[in-house]
Amino acid sequence: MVETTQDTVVTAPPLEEKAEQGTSLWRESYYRFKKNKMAVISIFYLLFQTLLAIFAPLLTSFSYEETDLILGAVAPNSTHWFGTDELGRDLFTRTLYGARISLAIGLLAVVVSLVIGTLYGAVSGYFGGRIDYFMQRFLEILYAIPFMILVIILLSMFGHNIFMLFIALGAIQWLTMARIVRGQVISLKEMEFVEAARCMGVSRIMIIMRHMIPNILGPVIVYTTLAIPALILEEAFLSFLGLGVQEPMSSWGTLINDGVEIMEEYPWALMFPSLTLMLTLLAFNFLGDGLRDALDPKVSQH
Amino acid sequence: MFKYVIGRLLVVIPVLWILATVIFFLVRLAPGGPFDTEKALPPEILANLKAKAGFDKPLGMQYLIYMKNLAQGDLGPSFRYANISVNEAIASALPVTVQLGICGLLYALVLGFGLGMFAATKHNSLRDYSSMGFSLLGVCMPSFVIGPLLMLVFAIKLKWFNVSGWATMKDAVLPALTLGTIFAAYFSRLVRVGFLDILNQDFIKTAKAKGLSAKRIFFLHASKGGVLPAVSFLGPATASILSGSIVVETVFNIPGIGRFFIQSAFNRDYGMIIGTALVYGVMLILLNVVVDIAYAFLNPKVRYD
Repeated sequence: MVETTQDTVVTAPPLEEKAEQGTSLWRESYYRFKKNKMAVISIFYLLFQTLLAIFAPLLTSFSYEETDLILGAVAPNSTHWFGTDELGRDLFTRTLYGARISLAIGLLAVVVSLVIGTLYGAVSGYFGGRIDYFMQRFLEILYAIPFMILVIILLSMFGHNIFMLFIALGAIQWLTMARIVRGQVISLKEMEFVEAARCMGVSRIMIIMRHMIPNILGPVIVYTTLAIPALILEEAFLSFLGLGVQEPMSSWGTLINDGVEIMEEYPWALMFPSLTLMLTLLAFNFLGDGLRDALDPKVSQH
Repeated sequence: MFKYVIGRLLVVIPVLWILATVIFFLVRLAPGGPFDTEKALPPEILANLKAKAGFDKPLGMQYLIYMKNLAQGDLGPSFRYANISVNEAIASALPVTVQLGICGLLYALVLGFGLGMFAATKHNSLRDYSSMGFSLLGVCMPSFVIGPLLMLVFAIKLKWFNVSGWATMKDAVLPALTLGTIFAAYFSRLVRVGFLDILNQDFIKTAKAKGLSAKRIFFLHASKGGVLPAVSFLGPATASILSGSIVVETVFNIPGIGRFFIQSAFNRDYGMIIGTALVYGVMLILLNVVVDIAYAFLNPKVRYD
């Protein structure tokens, strides 16, 4: 992708102008992306899922926390689309509200990892030399630490609130982001157009803003799309162990965990949250693949 | 190469020290303790218990004592399991976790590499699409979904397997499937891409022009480079294999490290928490070094000198 951007970035026109030329990197990527049907469907599915999560209170007449012990567990029907759990809570409602937590954790934790990882990787790659050496050794030590283990200890010791989850999950994910950004920055640094800008006396900050960031954006976007499902999975993993959000709130992980306990008698309690989680993961994967093919034509031959 | 491996293995020491220190203070600073039970103990007994465990000494002193014992390989007593030390618990649980990991990984490697190569032999054909369809499905099947599902169908409904436990070879089947499926899916995608890349290169065309058989080209010429992307994925995958094994041990009630770890974290069994976490730390580093060696062996461009 670096090669294809070279010409357009030497003249460094602002993005809006580039779009009008019709053959810019972003427009080409857009056309490539549009051709990938599964990726386009996925983006609409994810938008739909997000809207459902945002407007959850308007979409259901049931409460996610109110129990109805007389009703108990009923199989899916026209009033309770996903059935109810053994406490009589509507599972469609709980899955909708669970989407709020699961998607929010995925998105917010990815922002945490994006900020830390990009800064760390960019500084390490751009300055190079001894700074880079020490920052990379530090990263290597961090890579050798089983973070999930620390997160489990942290959450089980100090109680689990959502805020801790955001921070903890974001703090794991930034390592790989830093690696990707550093690699990109190092290869960009050697490019002629950056050298040309330097020779012309462009300031460091301008070089980073104008020439580096637009060019590392592609891989970062792709990695971000693939990191979100990983984070949703990690939250579900922690919730499954009983360390995620707490009753009566629900996330997809807690719903699956609850469903497992009663799956023998009431299999729908496991099926619907699992299916929702899997569909969302599938959509993010399609989207990530589509974006990679669109933004990184070098690997898109297959 | 030898020097490089030794260097990499030496990372174990600072990492374990950092891990042990961080966890030591983390668990001590957290509210509650290992002797909190449902029924409150009489204060004298509690004081005695604490004195026996050394909790009456200042925290810094306790840390030094723990570190001194740790340096000699003694992980101390468990505060929850009366007759068992942390060393003994790990000695009994580690083989179980390692067996589970090997079974799961073998299954993932065989299925993943098999499917990936199968798909790559005929690009954009039915076999390509069907194997990639499977792998896409597998990528979205986390262990905590697939485990209970397998258990429900094959253990509870069909009664082909035991619901839980770790006694016979048969007990390893469902846990290994649960642990390995997501990795099989990732491997197959990476192997496919790796082979497709290699098969497009000039030296393969040369081999074809020389009249070598397709099989020979595929397995002898392309295989080494074709598996590279999958092998490089193994490194970052090791951490998730470890956390996957925690889920599998919890779901199927397998007496491995993961179950001890989770239980001790909930029970605030201080020594056990640090001990099992350190085992995970060592496993993570060892696995990563093994993967790096395999990578250097397969990729002539990588040299560790």
